Amino acid sequence: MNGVFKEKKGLKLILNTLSVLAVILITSALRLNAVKNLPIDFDEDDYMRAAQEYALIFRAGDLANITERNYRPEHPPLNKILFGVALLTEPEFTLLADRPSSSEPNIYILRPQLYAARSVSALFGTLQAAALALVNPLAGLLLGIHSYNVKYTSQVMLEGLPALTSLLSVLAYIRWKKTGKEKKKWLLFSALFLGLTAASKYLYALVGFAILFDWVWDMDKDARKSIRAWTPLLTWGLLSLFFFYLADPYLWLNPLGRIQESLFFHSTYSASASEIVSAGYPVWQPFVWLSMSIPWHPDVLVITLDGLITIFALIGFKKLWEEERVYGIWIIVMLIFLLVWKTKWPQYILALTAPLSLAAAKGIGLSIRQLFGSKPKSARVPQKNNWRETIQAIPWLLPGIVAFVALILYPLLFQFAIALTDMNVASLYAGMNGDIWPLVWQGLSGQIEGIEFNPFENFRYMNKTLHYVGAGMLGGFFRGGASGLLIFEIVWATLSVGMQALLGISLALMLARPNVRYPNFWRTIFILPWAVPEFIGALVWLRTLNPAFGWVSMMPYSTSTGGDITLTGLLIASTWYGFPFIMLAASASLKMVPKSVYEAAALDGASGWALFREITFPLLLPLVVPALIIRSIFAFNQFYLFYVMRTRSMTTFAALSYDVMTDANQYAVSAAINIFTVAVLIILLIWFNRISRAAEGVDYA
Amino acid sequence: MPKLSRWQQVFFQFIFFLVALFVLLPLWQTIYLAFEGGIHWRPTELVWLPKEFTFEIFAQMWAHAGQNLSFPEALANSLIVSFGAAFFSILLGASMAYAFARFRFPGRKAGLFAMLLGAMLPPVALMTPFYILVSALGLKTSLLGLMIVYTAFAMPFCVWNMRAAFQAVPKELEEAAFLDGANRFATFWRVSLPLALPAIGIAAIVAFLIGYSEFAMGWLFVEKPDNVTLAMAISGIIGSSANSWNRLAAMALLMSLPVVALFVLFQKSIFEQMLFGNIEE
Repeated sequence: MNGVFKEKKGLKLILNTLSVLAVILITSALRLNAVKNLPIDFDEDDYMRAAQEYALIFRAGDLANITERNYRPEHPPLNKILFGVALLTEPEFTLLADRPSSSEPNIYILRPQLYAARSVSALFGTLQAAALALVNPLAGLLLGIHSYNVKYTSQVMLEGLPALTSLLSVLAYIRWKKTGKEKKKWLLFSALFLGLTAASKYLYALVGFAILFDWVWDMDKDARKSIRAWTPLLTWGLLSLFFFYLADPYLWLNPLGRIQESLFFHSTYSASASEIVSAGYPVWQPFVWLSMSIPWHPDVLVITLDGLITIFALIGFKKLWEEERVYGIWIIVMLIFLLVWKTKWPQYILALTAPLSLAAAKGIGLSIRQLFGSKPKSARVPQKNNWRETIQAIPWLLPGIVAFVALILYPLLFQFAIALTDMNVASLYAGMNGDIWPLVWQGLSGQIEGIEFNPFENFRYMNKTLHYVGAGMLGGFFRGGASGLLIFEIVWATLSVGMQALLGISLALMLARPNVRYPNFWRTIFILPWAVPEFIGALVWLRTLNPAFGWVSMMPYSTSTGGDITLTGLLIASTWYGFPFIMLAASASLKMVPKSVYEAAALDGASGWALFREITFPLLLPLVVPALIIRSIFAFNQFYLFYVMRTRSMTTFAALSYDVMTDANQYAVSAAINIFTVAVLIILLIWFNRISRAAEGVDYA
Repeated sequence: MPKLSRWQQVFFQFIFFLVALFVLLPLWQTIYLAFEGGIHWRPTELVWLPKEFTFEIFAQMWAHAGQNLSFPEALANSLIVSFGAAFFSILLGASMAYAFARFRFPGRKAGLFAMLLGAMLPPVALMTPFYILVSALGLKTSLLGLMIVYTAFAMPFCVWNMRAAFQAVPKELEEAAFLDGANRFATFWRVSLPLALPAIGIAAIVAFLIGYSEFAMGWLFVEKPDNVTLAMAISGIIGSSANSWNRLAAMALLMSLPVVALFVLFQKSIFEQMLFGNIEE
């Protein structure tokens, strides 16, 4: 027995070692390729100059100077110093010119110097993936192929070292936790790496807060009161600061002043720098980065699975949280910061790609088990199909089925066919007389080749004969052309329905109190926005909020305000229009609650909150959950509001599709957009179905 | 639910007042504009009462709502189309919704999923095929064609909402009816349907409003000026002429009035007549 066990353990060790080696191989290959082939980017020339300065200092042997030098002092110097060490391998050189950080990248950097510095980044990037692979080989692989990681750990950027050390700091902390909190050396390591992280780039040091939260979370209430329990935490924090100070020579002589200097820079930079203003990224831009791979270097960054990694991370997040909470906190801390922080550069997401990859690895594991593994035994009684009931149900179902097939299913199928062609207003007749079906059939069965057709390049394309195009146009959408739009849609639906629900349900609950005054009067007033057709409501708000037409200078045409204000205006209008529906649904449910239930509960001495949680809330669900789902769908597909407000910078798929169909007369393109809408909605719906199990809780069938 | 104390009462009324202000302010601005004869291009500041009170705008509107239609003609078109769509949606969907709520059969989940999908589709998502199909069927410029299109938009939503309503009806009540010897249909008609009517009413109102306030599809499917609905007429003058804001406001006001009336009516039948007393026996 023991021998077999040992053998198994040995086998596992060998497999693990092999997979870590494989991760290192793949990761370093991707980075070496990127080191050689990526063009010189913004900031790279700046950090190159910083590195050159350090290299010159080392050469001159004038080490005292290191405390006075930190080109681009907004970022701490450790990573730049290491770049400088790498440059020592190069022959004598002259400094790059000092230029403002917003200027175009200086492309006249000597290649050997560039490669030397980039290799340092690549080394750290590979080490980070390897370290993660030790925890979970799949996660290491995902981190290794994540296109943001490949790019920014292959350039002269300040991401490589802090990304590595922040991970190591967390790993050491977990090690300390797992080994019974006896071995203090792991805490020492954690503090050391955290200090190094802070000395490389401040952003990554936020991981310290994740550790802090996790630590305090685990303390029990009594322990929090005794000072002894806080000592290790305090020691760890002070040690981190100490190592930070040690690793940042620029601080040695004047620590406080120089920290102040760099922090002050960041606050003004994020508020006013020309490149940030001109980039014009919305608040949720980090989500956009996470949803897609880097689009700028398709020939260098060939693996583009970042969107998938994010999706799997969403699936696996809960499991990751249950297994090791600190990673989950890490993701959340970084996300919150990136959302709040005004600067939205793409490289910032490297601060969370490590735990994200771990979550994705868990998600992939879960998904595989769901698909292939034996299903976990569900607590619910399996729903048997009852044949007697099925036969009974047929006459009830028939009218609905006929209507649904004729009115929705067939048109959808037809739409699919249109999206496979180049149909426009000129070739419309072919669609009307039915020529489209044989054409699509021939195309799908391979009898004819699809023609080249890129509608986005030429909206004036008009061909009188209908051609088969194939899946190219649809593919364009799914490959990520619509990524930013999709994120906006999700943000929009969440915010607008959230506000509607808050207002609607609160009002319904308030109006349902037995002795509230004038409930019908108020209810009638509150229903008015819903009684007003959506596009009239939009007009009304346009009239109110638009600076050109209305008296509140908030809306899209305003040049002085940014996108956020536009969103605020849209949200005000959509809340105004949408909350009555949810209020009605909640009211209808509350009316179904028999009074006697409350009386009985009150006799039992239930408090107000218990009444709400045990009686009101469950009874709200059957009508309110569907209402919320429907409202989210409406928000996702909102058309009339956007049509009237004409917010071209923010638009839904529906509004875009309408523009394409009516302005450009490209029917096939609008059909393709619509198919994309349908596909996205199916995904959202599956997800919705999962979380709104509450609606099934009262399923009597 | 627990009764309110005096202070809670005051607080609630205050909140209601604030929300009512939020609701009514833009509406009042529309009403005001419809009677404003004193500005000729567009308002540039917050004005509470018309500078020159006039009924002129309404008189113009009534005789000429756009597209050579009088206001009553356009309104009639709107009502025909949207009532028709709401009626068909409920009629075709009710029995299916009940089956989803009460029977077990293969494909039940898939069917519900399809309904949600149908309900989720924005009208725009089906406009391309509908445009071609309705043209091919020769229904393109008739009100019937538009009614069918609006039914397609409204039905899945109605089914989904009605299913929830039927599900919320306690099964024990139906079982009691079975014990009394009622068959499935009688139980549905006498017990489940009345109890579910409030929510069905909500579904019907939504179905009605989808058609009543729709104009984008309308312009795709209707060519004859005779068949222009009210919403289409309003959308037709968005940003068109010099005093368009007054015209828009007057039209919007007149268009919204029947809906508001309908709402007050429905509200009564939904919230007062049907439910109470039935459950408590």
